[in-house]
Amino acid sequence: MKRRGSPWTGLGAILLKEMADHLSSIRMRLLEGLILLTAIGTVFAATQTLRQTIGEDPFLYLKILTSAQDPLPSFVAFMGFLIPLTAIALAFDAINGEYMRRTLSRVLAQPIYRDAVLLGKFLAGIFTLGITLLALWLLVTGLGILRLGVLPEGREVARGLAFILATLAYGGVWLALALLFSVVFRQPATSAMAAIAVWLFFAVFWEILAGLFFNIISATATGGPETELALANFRLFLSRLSPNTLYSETVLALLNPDVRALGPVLITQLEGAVRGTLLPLSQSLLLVWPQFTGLIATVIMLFAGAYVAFQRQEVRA
Amino acid sequence: MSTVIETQGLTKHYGPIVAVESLNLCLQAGEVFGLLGPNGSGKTTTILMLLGLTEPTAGWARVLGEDPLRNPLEVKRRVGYMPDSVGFYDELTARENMRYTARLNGIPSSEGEERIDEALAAVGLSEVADRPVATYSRGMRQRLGLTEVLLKRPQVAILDEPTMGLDPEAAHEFLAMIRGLKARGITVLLSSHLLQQVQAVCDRVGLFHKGRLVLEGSVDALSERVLGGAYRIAVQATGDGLERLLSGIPGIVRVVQERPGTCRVEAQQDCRAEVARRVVAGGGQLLGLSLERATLDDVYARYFQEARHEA
Amino acid sequence: MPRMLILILTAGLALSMSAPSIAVAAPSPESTPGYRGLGLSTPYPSQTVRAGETVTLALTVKNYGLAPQVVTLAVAKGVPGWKVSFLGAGRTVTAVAVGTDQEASLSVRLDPPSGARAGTYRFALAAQGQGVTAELPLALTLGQVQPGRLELQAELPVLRGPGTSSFRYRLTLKNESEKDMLVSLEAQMPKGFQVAFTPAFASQQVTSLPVKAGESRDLDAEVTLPQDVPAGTHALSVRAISGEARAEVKLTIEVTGRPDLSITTPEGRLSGRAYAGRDTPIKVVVKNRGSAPARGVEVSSYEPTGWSVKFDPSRIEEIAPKGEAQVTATVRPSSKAIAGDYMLTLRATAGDSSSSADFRVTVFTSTLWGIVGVIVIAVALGVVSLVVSRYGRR
Repeated sequence: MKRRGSPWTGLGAILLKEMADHLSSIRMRLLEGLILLTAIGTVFAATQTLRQTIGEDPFLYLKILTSAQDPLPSFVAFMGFLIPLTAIALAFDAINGEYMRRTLSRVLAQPIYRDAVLLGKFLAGIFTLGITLLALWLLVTGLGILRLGVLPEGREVARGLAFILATLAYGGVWLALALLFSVVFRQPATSAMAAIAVWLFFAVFWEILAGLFFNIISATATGGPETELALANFRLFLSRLSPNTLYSETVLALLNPDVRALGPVLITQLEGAVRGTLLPLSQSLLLVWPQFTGLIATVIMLFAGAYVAFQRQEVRA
Repeated sequence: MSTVIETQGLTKHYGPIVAVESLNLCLQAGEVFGLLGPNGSGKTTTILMLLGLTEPTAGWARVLGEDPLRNPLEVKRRVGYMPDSVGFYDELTARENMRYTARLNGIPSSEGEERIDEALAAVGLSEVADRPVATYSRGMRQRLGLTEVLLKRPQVAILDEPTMGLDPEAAHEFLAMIRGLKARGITVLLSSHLLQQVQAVCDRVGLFHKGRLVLEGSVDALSERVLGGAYRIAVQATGDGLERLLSGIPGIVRVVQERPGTCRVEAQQDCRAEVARRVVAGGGQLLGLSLERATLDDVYARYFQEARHEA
Repeated sequence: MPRMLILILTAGLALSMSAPSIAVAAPSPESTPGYRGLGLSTPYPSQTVRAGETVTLALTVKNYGLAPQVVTLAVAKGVPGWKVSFLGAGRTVTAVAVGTDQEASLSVRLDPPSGARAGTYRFALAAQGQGVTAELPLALTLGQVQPGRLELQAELPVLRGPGTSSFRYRLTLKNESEKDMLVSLEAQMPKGFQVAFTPAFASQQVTSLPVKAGESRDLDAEVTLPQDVPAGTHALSVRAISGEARAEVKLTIEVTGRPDLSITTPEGRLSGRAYAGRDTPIKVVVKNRGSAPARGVEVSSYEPTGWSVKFDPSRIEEIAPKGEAQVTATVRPSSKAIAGDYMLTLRATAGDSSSSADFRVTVFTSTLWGIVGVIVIAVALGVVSLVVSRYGRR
């Protein structure tokens, strides 16, 4: 039986309302303040070193993002840490919060489908993340111009935007996960803890577990270099099951044009290769395309999971 | 009079649990219908099915001629719904909450503002409209819920437990507003477990019990059917054999001795004069004599008493 | 090396300077036994001279076994109009003192009158000592002077070589007259040819050089050919001129011609793009900048492992001089090649002539992964739309 009307009726209203909520909520203000502080700190530290070497690097503005000045980690490292937190903060109470406030049945009694509610909340989170990232990048670039006195080139801008997109996809993973948990768990606190636990698992424990697992496998395997290559690829595969690895590889290749391969490379593949050549953006994109699409596909699948779970729920709390 | 809400064999099961069983309901335009019954008797499930928010296991429903299952958007556009224990976004003001509703309904913003002002005025919230909902009392929230219903200018208003949690004064005010809905020509379906409280505003009621609509009709008709008589006379008198004394009066259905010196008489007509005469003639002193209308509580209690007896 | 040369040169100079002194010291006066008296002599008593030219002759007065005495010099027989004077140590003298078995050198100067006619004029000079006299007849023929004669010879007049090399001829210039001459050199050549003269064992270029009477000088003529000289025989002549005297030598250059290959692209840009695992055609041009046709040109390449480079055609039968041939190189980088720049060496070989060029290939990885990624996303979106149609609109 087919229901009439678009499932996305009212999407715009929900999107606007949720975005307004996000952008004015104290939770986001706190996180934005935190991000702002780290951004200014890391950029200031990075430009301090780069000032001495202006003109030596063709991608100065990418260096601002990636160079770390002890004891501060790089801007990118901070982002890898703060963006998942922000994304989780944006969505962990998206649905169960509505149940808790008893607003869901009232909203659903309006002429909309609940499809629009979920998608609207998800898109609002994505847009909020996107706006935050864009503003942050503009801030970093602006600081860079002030501190270095050099204007960014077109290719640096393009790579910067690609970096934002990749970060958005990575944030989207955690946003979709938090959204899923907010549907599955009735208590916002539970879903927040669950999402943070998953994030910690991938950020800290996954590498350890993958290493352990790999050691067990490689201890039993014997063979020549081909086996070793297969093992190395297997190790990489294990690592790449984590969105954190996918993201860090994506950022590595996008912000370092001289990165030509991710993962093990055979000597024969390097024969005749001219070292130190910079890849054009299209090639860097192609290099990280599997990782990038993997992230996006993860986002979509997590959203689909949240969608199914939400659609099967009863409206009455 | 046209039919506004109609259901036929509407059934909802949650696994083995039966929430609503073979509900046949018919609401005429302009009437106030009370869906009454204790908590968990299937009232809210029925309402959700009428709005298309829950799919029935069997049977069908028509709201304003539309199938809520096939065209829920149209149904929801024309039906105002106030859920039980209605919630709002606490950090937003009442006006902002209403604006969100207006946008969800696709009302253009200029017209929306007009409607919001009008609806807020109708429930008396104009002065506090720009305060965050977090500062609102329970009664104000209920009224805001009604604002939302009014805002949509619906043909049908479905109110789920509108007076729950309100103090008697607030409940009374709220019921007056519901009467106001009727005055606007809006068909009202309201559910409540406080039978006595809502009976005053309902043209017709339906009594729910364990998912079934067991009784349906106007309050008077129900009490006549269940209680056997529409007149209840409370008699306070001294003297012995009061019960025996009164039971002989023609038209009296039943005499119940509630406590010594107080009797309740159920009669088919007003026979207070005859009762007074008999008490006095029997040598007793008549201390009080009053005519009471039957309450739904009585009807409900009696009905299930009888049902249990039959079982 | 230059220092060595200087050493040798200075040694040479020392030799030439010491040689005359030895020559002077060597001829010890020979006494002719039996003859006693005076001797008056000159090496060339009969000469042909040009009209109007003052003739100076060396005279030797010798005392053979007589007591030392003063010898008076006189003109025994003169010719009217001619002025005859004796010169000794730069002054006009009339007598000379000669010791026993000694000799004295002086010269006689004969000034012809202006307008002297051609013909033979006879003079007689006399030396009068103490009781002895010596006489010397002279004959000067006017107007029939031997012209100065030069001779120019080439050691190897025909040289053969490729057009790119320079040709060096060893020439010998001989002054066959009795006079020193300043000889200027010039050459007649086809257009574009250039020649440079250097005296043998010297580095300085010259356009003229002095040659003493009866002596010869060796010199080198180096001919430089223009860039685009065609193969074949080219004739040129070198002339030596000094006043009326002139000499000429014919030289021949046989330019053998040789192919000179170069390999490049039509635009001259030695970089290109290629996709990993996919054939990419690159237009390659093999040019023959040489003067002879290049035959059997083979085109090959040195590429990284796993790459394949095919040429079509891989062999060119002939490329004419100044001609070029187009070859399509189909480059297929290894399918496992990582993105970035690689060096590919292209080579064209014909006999001993070869040329290579480094071609920078920017490898682009296949967009296949990109398509796979898009498909993955499309599948994910498809799942979502399925889910929407299955569970949607509630």
